[in-house]
Amino acid sequence: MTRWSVGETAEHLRAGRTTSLAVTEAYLARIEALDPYIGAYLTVTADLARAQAQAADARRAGGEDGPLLGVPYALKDLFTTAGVRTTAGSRILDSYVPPDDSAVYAALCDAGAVLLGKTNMDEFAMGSSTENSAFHPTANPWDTSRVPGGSSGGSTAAVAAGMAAFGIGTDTGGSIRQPAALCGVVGMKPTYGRVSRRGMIAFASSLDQAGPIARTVADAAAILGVLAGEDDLDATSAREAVPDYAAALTGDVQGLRVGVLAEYFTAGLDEAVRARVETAIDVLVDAGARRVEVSMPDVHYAVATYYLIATAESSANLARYDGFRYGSSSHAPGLWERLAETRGMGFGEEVKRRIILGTNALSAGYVDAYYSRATQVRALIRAEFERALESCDVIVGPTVPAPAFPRGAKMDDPLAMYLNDIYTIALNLAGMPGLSVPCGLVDGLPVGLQVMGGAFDEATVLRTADAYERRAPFPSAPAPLDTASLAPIR
Amino acid sequence: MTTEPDAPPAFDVDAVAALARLALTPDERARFSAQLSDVLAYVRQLADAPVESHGRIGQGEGARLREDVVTPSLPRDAAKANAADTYAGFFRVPPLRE
Repeated sequence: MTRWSVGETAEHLRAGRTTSLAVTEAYLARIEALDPYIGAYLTVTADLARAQAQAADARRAGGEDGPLLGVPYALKDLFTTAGVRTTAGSRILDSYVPPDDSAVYAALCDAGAVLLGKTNMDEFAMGSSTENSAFHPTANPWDTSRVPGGSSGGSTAAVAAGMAAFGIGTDTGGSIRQPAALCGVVGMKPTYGRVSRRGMIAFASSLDQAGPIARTVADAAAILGVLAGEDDLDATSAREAVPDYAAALTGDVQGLRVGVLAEYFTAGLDEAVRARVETAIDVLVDAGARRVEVSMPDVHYAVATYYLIATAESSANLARYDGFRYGSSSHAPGLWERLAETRGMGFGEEVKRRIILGTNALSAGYVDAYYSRATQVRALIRAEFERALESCDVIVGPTVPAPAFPRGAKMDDPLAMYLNDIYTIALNLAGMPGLSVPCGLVDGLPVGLQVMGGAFDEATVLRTADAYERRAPFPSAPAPLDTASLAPIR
Repeated sequence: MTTEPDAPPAFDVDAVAALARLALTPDERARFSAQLSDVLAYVRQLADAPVESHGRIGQGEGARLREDVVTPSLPRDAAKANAADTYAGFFRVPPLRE
């Protein structure tokens, strides 16, 4: 039952063939057996999960139904959970117990989903490999010597390894789509503002967005339907009505204009990845979609733009970690010394690197050359997306330039690590929705097809990906782990 | 002071770390200087982007404010629950000046 999709799990529960408690126990047993070698979880909430599962079973017995009622999931440790430690993958929050629930967790509780635990991540979501966690790295279930991607690598690895029926991640520059591609699962970044960010620990506030990680596109649609909606307590949450995403999955792409983004197929793209993505596009064309060539000549500025805007915003957001109101603290005697020492000890290397980069970008003498310039280039990139979408309904390309890389390979070269997000970052700058769906294996490792759409048109993105998935089902499980031959990762 | 977009001043990691209230080890200082110089060389390409006529996108675009009315907030005990040190209902911090 730990390989069932969300839809299958709900169907078995609905038919009375099993209970949420039985499914939850199966997941907890699998986590206990496998997670020492994968490292997907930072905190396993076994007692809470059993209580939530029993409550879900009682709600079903009382006649309630819902797509996530009684379905166990993994939550990135960036979302606050009242009474449950929330670390953001950082030493500075290693004992932080929030007083409030995030909007995403509250919505999942209302829907009756069962929290299995809080998952590992790059510290404050800064990274592309989940190696920047202050606690331990996470391994890719397809090959434990390789990274799962990041920063939502814990949630994606948990879903891929059968340690959760679905996961929740966040995507500031690709942190849902990139690990989803590298772990062979579906991951979606909704439109900026589509899902409330209340209680989602901030990294870069003009870019951050929460979204689903799942084994099928239909699951992702069902989860997004639960998460999406307006929230009076998040000033950036959108008022647009939430459509019925599940109903959009008709399987029909007849006449759909699929824009193939030329700049995502140039030098730097692994030839085998290119072949898998081209084959996926052919599947859509064979199903009746029309291939349209599109170009964004300035999209290559996206990575540079992102690493100014995201770092500038993070330097401001992370100024709140002073060690006085919450989080770990040094014992230096003076105020300023204690502040600097607390932050120096509590933040990891990548976080410090980005705070310095962002502080520099905002400082007098640099702000025009760096931050202000980046906000202009960002507007240029969004205009290019809008222009491209005049001639097509969705834009497609690879999610990642290559399959998962070995753990440790890029830790000493930040620029090489940043360039791993070369195909995902532009969409965050434009604020539009995108999804990665598995499109095959390269040397035994998964890669993804990225489907991008116009603002608040998640329905067309999901319909396209679902139509592809129906015609090219993915072998969604990696080979069973031979734990006897592996060293524990945590 | 402002600078031409294509000629930002040299990068001084100590000055920026001080602005960010961030203590660095000697190793970090040396490593960050080299790594961030590479990153800054990379982002300098933005000087060539044809940005005219598209405006800019800054933080807070599209955000809306609620009505300016008092609503319940976090209870004081909950707000203090994670604090390193408290005194008489306040957060206690070292003196700014002895």
